[in-house]
Amino acid sequence: MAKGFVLSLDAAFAVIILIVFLMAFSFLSSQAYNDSYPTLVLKKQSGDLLTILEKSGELALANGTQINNTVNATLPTSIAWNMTIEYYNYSSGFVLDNTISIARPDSVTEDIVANEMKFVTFQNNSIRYYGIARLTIWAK
Amino acid sequence: MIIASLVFIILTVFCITFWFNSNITASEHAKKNRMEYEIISISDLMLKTSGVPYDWETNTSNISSIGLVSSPNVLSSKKLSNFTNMSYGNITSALGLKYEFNFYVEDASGNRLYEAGNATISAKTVVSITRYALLDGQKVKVRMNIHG
Repeated sequence: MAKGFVLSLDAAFAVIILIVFLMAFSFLSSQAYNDSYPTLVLKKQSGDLLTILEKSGELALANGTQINNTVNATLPTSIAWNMTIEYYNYSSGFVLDNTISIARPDSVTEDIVANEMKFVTFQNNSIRYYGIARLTIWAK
Repeated sequence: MIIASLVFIILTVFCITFWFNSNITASEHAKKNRMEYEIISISDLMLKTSGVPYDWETNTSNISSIGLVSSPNVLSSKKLSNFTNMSYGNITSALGLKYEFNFYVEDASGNRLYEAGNATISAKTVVSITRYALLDGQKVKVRMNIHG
């Protein structure tokens, strides 16, 4: 009777250990899958946005309200963003002439994406500004 | 003896079920990863390149690669028009796409300007992407879903 009890207890312990092991394996496997796709899409979208702002000539106009309206109209409301555009003159070195800071703020999440574009604006066939546009976006 | 056999059978069934479920989940993740990789690559190809040859729209029977822009993110209406008029099979073949797809370009008000592919989605796994571009000076959204 005692021997049978010890063997049953031994088997029960083995079963418990096996179940704990399987549950730990299952939990760790599910944690290991980290989908980076939403972040990658945000990265692509921020790059697209900077490109179309540059190609449409809006970065050259340096009109913060217009750029703000464009970004707000393009990105869905579920995405928060902030943008800084710096305009430099060049005379024996780059001199900051103008800065535009615009945003649709919200609390920052983990998956934040930053993108940057350097551009040049022209006036009368000569360079007016050297610029850097920095766009940070994240899902709310 | 009977109890021990019962415990053994239950455990065996549990382990086999667990193993199959893990395999199914892993293969679903792998499939989703492949689809995500594919849709990112295809959307880049469409919005960042003119295609090969660059004037493929003049002769759609000789396409190596489809691109829809004249310069990055500036859509060509001629390329778009020819692309959406191509047969479903020719598009998937030129894109090297292994899944069903649906593609459309819409303006700021949500009107669809160009559309191609199969909009009826019956598959379990669907991956979508929205990209931004210019078309005739207007900002448009380029959306694509692949499903399979």
